[in-house]
This record gives sequence, C-alpha cells and structure tokens, in this order.
Amino acid sequence: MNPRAIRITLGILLFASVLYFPWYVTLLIALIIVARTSGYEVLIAGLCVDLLYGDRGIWGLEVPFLATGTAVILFFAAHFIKKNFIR
Amino acid sequence: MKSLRPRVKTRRKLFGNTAFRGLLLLIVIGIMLFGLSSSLRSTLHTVALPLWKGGAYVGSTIAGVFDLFRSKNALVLENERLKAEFAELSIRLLDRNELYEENLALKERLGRDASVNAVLAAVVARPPRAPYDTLLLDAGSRDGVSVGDFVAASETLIIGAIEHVTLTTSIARLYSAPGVVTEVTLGHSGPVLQAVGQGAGNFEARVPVGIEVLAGESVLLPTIVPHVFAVVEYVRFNPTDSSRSVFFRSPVNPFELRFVTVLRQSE
Repeated sequence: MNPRAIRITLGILLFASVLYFPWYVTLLIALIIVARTSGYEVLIAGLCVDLLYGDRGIWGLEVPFLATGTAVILFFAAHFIKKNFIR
Repeated sequence: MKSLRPRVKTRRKLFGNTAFRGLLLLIVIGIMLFGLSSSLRSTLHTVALPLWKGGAYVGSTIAGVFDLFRSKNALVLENERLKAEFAELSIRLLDRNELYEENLALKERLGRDASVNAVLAAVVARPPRAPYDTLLLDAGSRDGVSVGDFVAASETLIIGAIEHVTLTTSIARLYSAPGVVTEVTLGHSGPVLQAVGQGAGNFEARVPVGIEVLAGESVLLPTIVPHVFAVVEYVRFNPTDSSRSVFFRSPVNPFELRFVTVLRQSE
C-alpha cells in the first residue's frame, strides 16, 4: 500500500479515535504513527484531547494539558530514537 | 571527488524539519499559555458535537439490530423484573417527594430560598473515551450554565461540578476523579470529612476511631439543600491506627449516565 495512503488512513483513525474510542486506543494509534512517520498529527491530536475533554490532569496531578504534554514527549522521543538508534 | 551538493541538501532538509518541529511546538505551547484554549475549545466543541450525536445515533441503531437476536423469553423476564422494580421505586419516590417539599417549605419559613434552578443536559462523551474523569454535556452558557454549577444524576445526587463552559457545551469534572478532595458530612449531623476520589464513583475518607460509621449510611454535601453524595460501602479498621478508612460509593455509575441535571447557581 502507498505510504502516503497509510499515513492518511492512520491520521483519520487517530482523530476518529479521539472522538469515538477509549483514550488507550488513541494512545496506541499515536504510538504507531510516531513509530512509522514523523508524527506531527499526534501533537494536534493531543491538544484536541485536552481541549475536548478538559485539561486538569489525573491522579491528583494538577498538570494542565497532560495529553498535549504526553504527545510532545512521544513526538520528540520517537524522533530521538529513530535518529540515534534506528538506521 | 564527491560533490558537496547532496550534503547541503541534507543539511537544509534537516534544518527545515527541525525548524518545523520547533515552530509546531511553539504554537502548541503558545495555545496552552496564552489563553487561546478557551476559544479553540469552543470551536472544537461546535465541530465535534454533531459528530458525537451522529455517532451515538449510529451506535444505538446498531445496538437495535443486535437486540433483534435476543430471545423473546429473556426480554419478557427482564420486562417483568423492571416493572416490579419501577413500582417499588415509585412508592418510595412519593414518600421522598413529600419530605422534600416539606423540607423546602420549612426552610422558606426560616428565610432561606432552597429552591433548585436546574437544566437537563445529555452526556455527550464520558470515560473511557475521555482520559480524565470528566463528562462532556450538551448544555452551555446559552442554557445558563456557568463554571462551578453542581452536576447531579438526579436533582439531589451530586456527582461533580462544571469546570469549563462554551456557548453550547460544558465539561463537568467528577468528584470521584482520582485525587479530587471534596468536603462532605456523614449523615445530616455527622462530622465533616475529606472525601478523596478513587475513580469510577468511589471515594475514601479517614475517620477518627471514636466516630461510629455504619455500612449503608448516607454521605451528604454540606449545602442548604441536603444533596446525597455517596453511600458508605465498608469500613477498614487497623488496630494500630488512630483513624479508620471509610470507603463509600456513589449510588450511580457516572460512566453509564446518559442525562444529568445541572444545578444553576445563578439566574
């Protein structure tokens, strides 16, 4: 299958998951995306999750924009791993 | 001798990618820090609301198709059980309504207006779709909802409070969200406790050993109208401790709610 088509499909799945599926499904799709592609859409999806569902954090951690922060970490961690450990 | 052009191209591509990543990160941080989030939230909710409602319609249609394959006997039995339960609850409700009206009348005579100003809202999204213990409601500022309004499963069973409001939607944070601390009272005249949310409608509080706590006892919010908060499930006692852990639970599962009542604090 065309890599661009795969990326578009994964992107659509990611944003559909933000709207309709449990958060762990969204996280799984985000991991697949950052592993296979540059993953910019994961940043946007993380921001969407916080804006749609609230942004006060979990488990007593009053960390605002937790999903966005997680997306940023995933994004840069994937870039670092791919650049330094995967040829 | 190798040409330098491919390296220059690679350097430009690398710089372009890094600059783009940095720019995207700055935009995301800017949105978080500079208060653009509320207008973006409003826009996102406006776009997402019809998509959620469409998804709910498709989901209920598919569930209806599967219902065709349930056995007739199972449906008849469930119908009888639900009718009996409904009849029992109706009787209890009559008694409760009488007491509730009498309570409000007494308070009015004492100069306190305890009437409830409420709006019904549908739950558009709930955990586990939302990663936080929040409910997304289809009532917003145009319906008179404001930040801090109580959210109830019925008019008296409080489950959370409004945290964000847009024109057409609002986000309610559940009191049972892990780590959230709420002041409650044990029964109508019991001590004030700090209820710590444990998730999914569960709470824990510490009570000094001298105070008697029974399973099934009501836990209330200390407001002018006695709102039910939860019911005591069990008490854990450690002989070496000077206090006990009391575990209580909301009578409803907030993750299965389809409608809630928002108790408006202002007109």
